[in-house]
Amino acid sequence: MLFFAIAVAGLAYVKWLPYWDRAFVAASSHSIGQSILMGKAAQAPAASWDAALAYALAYGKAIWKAMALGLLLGSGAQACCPPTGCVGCSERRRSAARSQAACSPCQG
Amino acid sequence: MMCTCCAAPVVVGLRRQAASAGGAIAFWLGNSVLNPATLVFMGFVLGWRWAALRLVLGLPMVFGLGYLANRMTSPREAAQAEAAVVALTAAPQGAPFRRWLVILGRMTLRLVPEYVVLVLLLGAARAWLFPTLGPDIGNHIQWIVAFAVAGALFVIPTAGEVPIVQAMLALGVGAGPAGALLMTLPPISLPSMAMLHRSFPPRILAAVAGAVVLFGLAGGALAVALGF
Repeated sequence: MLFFAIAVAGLAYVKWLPYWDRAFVAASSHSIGQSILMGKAAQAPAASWDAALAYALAYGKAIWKAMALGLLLGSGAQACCPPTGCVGCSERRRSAARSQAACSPCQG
Repeated sequence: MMCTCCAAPVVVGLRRQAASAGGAIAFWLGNSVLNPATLVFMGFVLGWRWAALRLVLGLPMVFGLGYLANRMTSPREAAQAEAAVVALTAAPQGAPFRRWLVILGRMTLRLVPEYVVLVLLLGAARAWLFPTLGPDIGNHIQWIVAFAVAGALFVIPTAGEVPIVQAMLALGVGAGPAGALLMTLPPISLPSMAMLHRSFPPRILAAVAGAVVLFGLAGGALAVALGF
């Protein structure tokens, strides 16, 4: 149950709620922010330590919550899902979203 | 609904539990390519024809490459996976919560450091991977190929491709290179492939990467042919 609760609550907090708001911003302003690659410039910054750090920080800020959730769910799948359940459902249906859902929730 | 790198640890976990190669590949690619939120953002920001292009090519990418990965799994690997399941089921489980914490710690240590290094490298290499954007970059095949390959290597957050393609089109870049990036930026990247190199045989990962680039070429060709 715990694994299932973390998956739903985590996805809601990291993904569903912010994306719901962002969809309205996209609809009204036809933009969801600047390009992470080079902002408004036509050229990416020359290769340098600064360019590396700036990108890693901008990227890290955007994804760290999702990465934490990914690690939690990835390790949770190992700790809590009975392996036969995962195999059975991924063989039956290729859709992996379903195969994840069909892993029975952690009993712990 | 996750980006390629955040979905990768979940794929590692599924593979450890002996999920089929095809199901795991479809989960990994589908998370970013078929993310409904990204498709909605894309529709509002770039126009609904771009979102339709992504959906029309994304569905065969996710399910076709999942099918391909299963076809590429040799009988020997399938037998090994079955043996692994038997071993996993027989293994003593212990307290589940503690086990979870131990696996979480091990996974974080194994995946995150190399991930950070690769993101730093790609951040520095931006200027080498992507040329100066402008009307000079038209719909030539060499530009479409170059952008398809760069997109497959580079790593972006969820929906990051939407403002990138928007900025490219605003600067006058052709629809072909933009269509190629639309298909290859999200599904795979160098860091996410590095995270998964222990979870799949190398030839399956290589085939998936090659096929994603081909889908990028198809995206570029369709965007040009349909006059986007």
